[in-house]
Amino acid sequence: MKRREAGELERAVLAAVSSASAPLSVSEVLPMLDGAPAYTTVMTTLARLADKGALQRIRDGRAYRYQLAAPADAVDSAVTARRMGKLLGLGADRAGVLARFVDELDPQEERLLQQLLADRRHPDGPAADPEALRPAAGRTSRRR
Amino acid sequence: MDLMLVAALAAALGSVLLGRGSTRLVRALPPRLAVPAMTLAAVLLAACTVGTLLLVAAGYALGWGPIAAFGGIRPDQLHARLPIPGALAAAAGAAAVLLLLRLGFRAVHLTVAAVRSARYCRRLPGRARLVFVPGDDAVAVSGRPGRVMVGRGLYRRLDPVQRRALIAHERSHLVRRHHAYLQATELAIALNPLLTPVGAAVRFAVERWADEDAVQRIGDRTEVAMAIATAAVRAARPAPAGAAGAALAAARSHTVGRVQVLLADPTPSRPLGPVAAALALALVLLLTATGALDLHHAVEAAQPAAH
Repeated sequence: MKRREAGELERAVLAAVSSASAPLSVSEVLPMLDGAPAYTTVMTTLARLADKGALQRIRDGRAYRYQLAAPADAVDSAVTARRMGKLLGLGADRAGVLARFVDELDPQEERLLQQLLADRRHPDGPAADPEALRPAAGRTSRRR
Repeated sequence: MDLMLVAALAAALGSVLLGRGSTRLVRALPPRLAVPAMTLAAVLLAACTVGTLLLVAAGYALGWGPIAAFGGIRPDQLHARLPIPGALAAAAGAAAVLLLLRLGFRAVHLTVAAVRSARYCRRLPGRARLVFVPGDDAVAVSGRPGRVMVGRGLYRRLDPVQRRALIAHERSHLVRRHHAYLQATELAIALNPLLTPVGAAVRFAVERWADEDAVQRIGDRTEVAMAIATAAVRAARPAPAGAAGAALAAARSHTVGRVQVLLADPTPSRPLGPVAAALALALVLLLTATGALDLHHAVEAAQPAAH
């Protein structure tokens, strides 16, 4: 039998599951695939796709049924997000491969920034303390 | 006191001082200068620290029985010229070996992370640099090419100018190869733990650099500050459980500092601190080189048979 590439079977299984209107069991996916893969192979592939976040597992008696974890166009995103989590688990911030736009704030810092945003949205509202965020007092204001 | 010991102490002292001053130093220069300068300083100081430790160890070890015999060195002459206590030399040698091992482990870790990240970037859907993902965060991931991932939740909450600021910021990370500076700094810290505070300073300066690039792009400091503030306040909502949440919680906030700098009037840079730091660094380099030469001459003088 011709050996499949690992990704090829995953794509076929994903296509089979996404074409169905209801969650599928392993034995229902099996006849939908070309090349008569083994039952256990398909079961493993389904489980792996679920681990990757592409499929959602639903318990049905003693077996599982599988459906797409998200609408078809969003499956890529779900997989992306799951891989992202793994990358972060590796300490990607510290390993220099990843730069976040913003980091976590403590409650006081969050209040400061919220205040600043509120002031800007309602410039005529009660004057709260934009200077609190300025590092040096006494400079002339440049805010619009 | 011996020159090599002076050099080793100067390198260690310099590392402590650079660590303590790093936050102020990176703020005293424009970030596009601060990042390379601070990275270079950390790498050089780390190399000097381990280099001088190795010199001290070698100064003693070269006069040790079998090694001295192999090199045709007369131990009494070498020790007369370089009076290094054996215990001190052994401690210096052990420290150098431990630090080099640390460097090795860290290099492996960084390489694995870089390979995984590059693979991750290749597998992201589409060919465009920008990828939208679920979530309320935005990150630049290094790779060839690197990718910018923007959470749809965050994107929706920003106004159009702020969106452009966000994307310009993340693109800057990739275009300026900021991850290379971060990785070099991490390696320097692995080689010399006294430099640990420099890591946070360089991460801050890298974010500032990207912020300034975003300002260049959209031409408005306040809008960039508002984009950061808006994103940060949203991101502070309960973080998702799991690995991502843990990584978020571990980070220390640079965000408020960045907003502060953007809202302040642009200050003329006061390079007094950086100039002093550069002079101190040059002194450490000079002492290290002199120490190496000193060892070289001492060994030559103790080799009557050679040449």
